[in-house]
Amino acid sequence: MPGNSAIARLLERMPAGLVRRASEQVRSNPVTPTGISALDAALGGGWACGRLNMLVPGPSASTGRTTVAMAAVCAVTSSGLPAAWIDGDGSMDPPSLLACGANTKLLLWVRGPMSADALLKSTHEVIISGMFGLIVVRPPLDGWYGGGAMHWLRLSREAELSGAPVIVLARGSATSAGNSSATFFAALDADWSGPIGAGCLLMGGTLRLETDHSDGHQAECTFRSNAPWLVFQ
Amino acid sequence: MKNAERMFACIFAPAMPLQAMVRTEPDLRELPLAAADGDRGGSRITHISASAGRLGVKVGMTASQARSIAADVVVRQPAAGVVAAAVRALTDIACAFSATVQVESDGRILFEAAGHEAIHGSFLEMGQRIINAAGNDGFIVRVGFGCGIRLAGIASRCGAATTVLETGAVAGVIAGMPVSILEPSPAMLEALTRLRVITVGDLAALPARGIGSRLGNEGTRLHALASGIDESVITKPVVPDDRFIECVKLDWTLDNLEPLIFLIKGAADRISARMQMRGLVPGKAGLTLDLENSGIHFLETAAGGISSSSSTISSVLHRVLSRNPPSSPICGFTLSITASRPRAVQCQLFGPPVIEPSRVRDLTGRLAAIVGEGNVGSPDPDARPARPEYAPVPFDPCPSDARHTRPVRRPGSPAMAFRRFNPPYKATVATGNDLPAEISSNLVSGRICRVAGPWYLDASWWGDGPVAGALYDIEIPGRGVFRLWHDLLDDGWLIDGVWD
Repeated sequence: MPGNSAIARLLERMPAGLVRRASEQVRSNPVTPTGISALDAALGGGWACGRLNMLVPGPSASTGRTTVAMAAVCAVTSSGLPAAWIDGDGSMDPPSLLACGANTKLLLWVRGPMSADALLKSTHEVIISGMFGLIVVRPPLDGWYGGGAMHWLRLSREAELSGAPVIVLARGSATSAGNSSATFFAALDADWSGPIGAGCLLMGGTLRLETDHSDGHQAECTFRSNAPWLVFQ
Repeated sequence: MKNAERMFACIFAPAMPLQAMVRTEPDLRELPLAAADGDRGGSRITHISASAGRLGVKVGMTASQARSIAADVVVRQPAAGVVAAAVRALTDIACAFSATVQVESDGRILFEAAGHEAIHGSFLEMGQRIINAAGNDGFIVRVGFGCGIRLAGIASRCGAATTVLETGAVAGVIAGMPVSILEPSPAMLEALTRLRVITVGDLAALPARGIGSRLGNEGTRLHALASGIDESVITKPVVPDDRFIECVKLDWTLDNLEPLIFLIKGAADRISARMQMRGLVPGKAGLTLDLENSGIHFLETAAGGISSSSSTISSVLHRVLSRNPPSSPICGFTLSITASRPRAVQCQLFGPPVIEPSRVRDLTGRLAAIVGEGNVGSPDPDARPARPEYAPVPFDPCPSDARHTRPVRRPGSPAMAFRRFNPPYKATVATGNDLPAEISSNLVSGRICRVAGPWYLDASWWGDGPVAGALYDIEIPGRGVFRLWHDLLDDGWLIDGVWD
């Protein structure tokens, strides 16, 4: 058909990948399992590889973001792949990581606290090394945006090129930087047992979160986390 | 041992002080250059480059005379450190070819070469390999082979790039050369000249009987050498050092890091090449800067944190220098890198791919330069929930780490994670019924709706100072679940962290 040949000629002049036919199957992005089946289902398989996966907190300090990040580290290291944790505010708790069941020998820990500049440089080095199956970045307490969105945009491009999933435990309401997706966390619903005082015990909590991907995919997810002293059989 | 079973090699770098200077400052290669035994006008020229010779400069002139004849000639006193580093570099090359190496006081390197043909080919091929290796490090060398170390030294000065004095054919090769190539003492040379013994062949033609009575022990030794007989062997073998040093001295001062890093990269390049030749990798680097005001500025990088790539070494040193710059301009430096053994990768048939150890070392070295020593590694698997700070252990993933033996986690239920505040927040806590009831701090304030605890901790037996206190888990409505520490020694309250 003359129309088809005209379209074909037009497509030949366009840069490859810029235009596609509506009938063509969109290639799905690779994902890395989160280690939590309910969250995998909400995210469409897991954390998107080659992207900044921003975990955005609500007003509460207890939202479950660290729990989710540590579960991902556990899933990746248990499969034999190395992971990296860039601890901008020096808040990573090794016993919690061990309680998650992570293989700590396969985890590179860049210990903070550090400046925003050092965080960006460290993240850059870790991403471009291309060695890690997962990279977790927790920005420092002050100036986490580290001189502007351009730096994070560059990191998102580097993540895209390296193909590594990057989990950013974002601060405040900053939600996106270039090729990124956001997951919003509500306050953790803590679960206690026993009377107040010495007989009381923190049993765990229920996490509620909402995913909002740049491709328009949205989902809500609720699951439970157990206190470390209840996790192991 | 028969001569046929012995073969020694000698690496000879003509005008070594000049070559050492050119090696650290390649720009000097294009200039008429002379080495002097001092830095004053009256100091004597000891070595000259070919271009300086063409301008009329001669060995033995004073520096002032040389400059009056050729205004463009560059007269330098070679720094002892620069020459020593060059000799060590040649020694490293020899160590890559033999286990028995000796360094002569004049900078010639001797080594045992017999038995290495299976690895390095014929002696001519071995000589060419040595010349190539030295050329990569900025040297122009000649290599000689002989059945004794003296004959090997003579062979290296024959003029050809590689000379092999085969047993039985020595006399023929060196017969036409002046007798001075045998390095007689000045008195012996004068006596031989007086006797019209001009070439090695003239000396070899003298009857062996009576040489001793006429020319003494030295005459006998020289006659044997001229006849191709040499029983000398290596007597002072060197022990290969795992510390590689490069030294650069400048005639001017540097007050900017960029040109300094350029020079450091050159030195790191040379060390990296020397290490690769011996199958080693960089481990720990030290940089000593010579300051204009006669002081020094010393910097050190982490052990095992350096890449084998010289650009990485220089960029790590650049970052270290940027954080800790010298107080005054620099007139030279010494780069010292201690070698370590490379780790081989053993991949698994059914396991995931393994990271190459050199890449891990490269990355951890770069990160250590950014965030500081001791802040890059893996969480300690023996970390226990206590109050001391947790320090990382070296990050060293290996294939066996892929199979870790942690307890099996209950599926579908992630463990709740704790996030430590670094540093903890001070708090004022009001109690009711001996339990925290209300809290006030910079982080969070309000009524406490749920409390678990206290759990008492007495850690005085494992720390430097006494630690005694109680832990509480508290919930503040809408703000989160926190862990409180009540120090029983000073009755202070701290918010340790949050369940997140």
